[in-house]
Amino acid sequence: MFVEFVKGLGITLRQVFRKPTTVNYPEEKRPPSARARWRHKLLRHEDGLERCIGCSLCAGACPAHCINVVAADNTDEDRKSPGERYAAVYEINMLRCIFCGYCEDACPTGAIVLGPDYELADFDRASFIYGKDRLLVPEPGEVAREKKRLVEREIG
Amino acid sequence: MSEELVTLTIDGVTVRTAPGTLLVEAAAQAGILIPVYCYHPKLAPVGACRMCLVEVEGAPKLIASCTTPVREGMVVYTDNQRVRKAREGILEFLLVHHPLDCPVCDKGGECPLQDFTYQFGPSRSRFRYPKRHWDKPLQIGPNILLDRERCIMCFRCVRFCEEISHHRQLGVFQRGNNQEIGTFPGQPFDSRFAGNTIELCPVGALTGAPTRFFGRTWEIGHTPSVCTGCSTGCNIRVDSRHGSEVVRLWSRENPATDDGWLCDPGRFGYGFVNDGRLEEPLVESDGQCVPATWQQAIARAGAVLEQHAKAGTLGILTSPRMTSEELFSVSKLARTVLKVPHLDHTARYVHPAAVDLRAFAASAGFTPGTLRDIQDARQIITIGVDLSREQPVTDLRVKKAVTQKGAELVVVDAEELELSAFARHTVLWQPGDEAATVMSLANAVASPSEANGMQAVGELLRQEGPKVVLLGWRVGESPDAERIGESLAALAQALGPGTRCVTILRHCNSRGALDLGVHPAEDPVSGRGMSGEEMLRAACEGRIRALWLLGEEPLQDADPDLVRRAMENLEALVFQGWSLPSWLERVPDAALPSTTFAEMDGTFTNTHGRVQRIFRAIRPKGKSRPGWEIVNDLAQALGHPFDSRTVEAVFEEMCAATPAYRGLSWNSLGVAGRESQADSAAAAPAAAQG
Repeated sequence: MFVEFVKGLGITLRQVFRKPTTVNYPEEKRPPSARARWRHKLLRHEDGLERCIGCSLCAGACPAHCINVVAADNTDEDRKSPGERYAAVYEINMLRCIFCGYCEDACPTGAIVLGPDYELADFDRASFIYGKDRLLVPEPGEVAREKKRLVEREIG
Repeated sequence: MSEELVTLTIDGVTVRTAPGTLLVEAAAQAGILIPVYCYHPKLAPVGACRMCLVEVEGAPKLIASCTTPVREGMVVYTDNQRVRKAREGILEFLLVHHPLDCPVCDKGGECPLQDFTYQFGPSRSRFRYPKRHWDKPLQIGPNILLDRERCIMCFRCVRFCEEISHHRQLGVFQRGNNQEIGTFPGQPFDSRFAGNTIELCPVGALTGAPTRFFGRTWEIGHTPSVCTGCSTGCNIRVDSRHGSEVVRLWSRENPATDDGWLCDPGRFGYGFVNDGRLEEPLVESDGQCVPATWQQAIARAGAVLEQHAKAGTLGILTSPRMTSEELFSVSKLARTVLKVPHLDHTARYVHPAAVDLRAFAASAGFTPGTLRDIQDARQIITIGVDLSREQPVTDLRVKKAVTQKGAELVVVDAEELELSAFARHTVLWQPGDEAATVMSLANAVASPSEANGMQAVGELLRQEGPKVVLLGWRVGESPDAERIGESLAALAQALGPGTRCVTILRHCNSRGALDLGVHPAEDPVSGRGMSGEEMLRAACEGRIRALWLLGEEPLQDADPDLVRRAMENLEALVFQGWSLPSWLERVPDAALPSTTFAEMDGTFTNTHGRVQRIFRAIRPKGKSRPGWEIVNDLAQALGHPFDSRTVEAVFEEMCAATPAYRGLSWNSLGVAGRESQADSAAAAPAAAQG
């Protein structure tokens, strides 16, 4: 009887001295998985042109209907993407998004990718509509980093 | 049918069909799909694309089913190994130069090339050389963009221009690998039927410039409706995105009105739905228009209407582009609550005798006809109407009757018209001389001895066969209309009984306005009111001091100077419509925003009397509401609430109150509409008397 008591207490004591698995978020953060699918990014080609051609296939694939694309004509003076068409408006409603990644699968140009940034909380609903100003990566260098991550994801 | 049917076997299915039927049509009757690109039921077969190859027992090679008529005892295979291999091969060839830019192509999602490639095509191409490239897109006309890389050379567009519109502006240039569709050097593709080639094109080679990148086809909602461009009543499909914006109009075949085509002014004329709208009620305050609530605006408008109706100084001008339900509500309010006799739907001058053009024609002795009668006519006479401009799709019908059915056309007008090129004779009249010209035509038909230089026309029109007279609304504008009426009576007599007359009115619901009595000619209680034109004159003289103006169409064809003076002299103006007219200088006392055809349910009556439904395609813009609802509110504000609270109820009430619409019901209209009874019942006795 006494032996069982000590055994049981032993388990409790072991747990007390184990290193805790929780972290002091937000001071401390865990690295997300290489496969993490969170905040979307719209990538650019190496020459700086937008990869997105405004074809709306992402919106068509989206099961939550959270993407809105309005396409417009490229002009030679103000070229946004290669070819005829670019997305004049590209909006994702992050409140509706279920982060399934179908948009990424559907994209014929590899323009949209889901990245590891998961801190999306905000104070009003309107600010969850992400436009091109927040989705489009600023410079082409991002592609290399994202590609590296994607490759790692495939391997890891 | 007296003809013997032909029996043949397609894929083991026994098909009995009329002789002369093409194999591809016989297969369709049996529910068997044969993929086609160049074949189109309304165009002559050419066998250009080779997509429809089938195997026929006894034939050494595969044959094109779109050019082969059925034969007795034929045994056809459309889906065996040999045919499948041929289709794969053809598709691989068609795709050799195709850019496969489906993601950016406006046709993507509704593209037969895409569909058949998935269904019948090879999964990969063996073509290892650089694809042919052209500049793209090429703007070949005001409304049309050409992408030659996507073209598969089915020639549908070229054949349409040659066979249907007879505007030969497209051609095939070069040969073989370099073959391309194009316009003739320096000539734009500006036909007013150009838009139809966008629909005909089985790939994305011809796309609409105004509708470029309208959205993807799977995001688009389709709603049946009726074009509001002219009085033909062409059936259309309103394509809308997110239920908030009209992005495209597409044709919807109805043999009774449009025969499957649509003209460019109609197809691309939907801008007023999306832009420049009056989105909230306005009231006048210190000489300015300020936004108001519906209650305030209705109260203000009601006060103006009541005050001036009592004083007998109120005039009401409604738009012939409003639905019949709206017109009926306005008319009911005017006649029963306001008791105003001054109600009209146009402010251009119309001779009192010819206000209702169809009654005018019937009283001359013509039998009211329908647009469909044109295709069976042997002789067609247009009087005072330029169909090519006023009713383009009817112009196509006339061209079809002349070129494909061998009908004879006589054009009577002040000048040579586009249709004169298809006419056996063009009879010209001098302005002011219309009645005499029609009379001498009638005399020439009646007796060869009185022909006076019109022997040939007279002889032509004396020939047997169904005859159709197309009478334009301009005839009613002639101060001489009464004498023209006499001449028309003589012509009707000369052409013989049963000559049908289709009156060509101005706007999409002009016929409805006339049927519903929205004109001064008939008012049982207070007698004849002023016509629109008389109202404007009375406004200048101070006898009309307030105007309830619904839409700007009624003033469109009036003398601009008269309109300006009338507007200046008015004490009060209540405007109701979908946008404030840009020319309107004075501030209306109240402006009530109403919805356009795309945002409400209702009916329009086309020029020959077909009642057709429109369906709500998008949400009303801003705070706009259907006109009949606004009128209901006004009636309530004036202390006489109306009972009909839904558009269906208004329609049923309208049908009960209007002789021409008796027997119609909301549900029986469907998407294709029904003919009103004005033709068959009311017109027959008139014709007999005449």
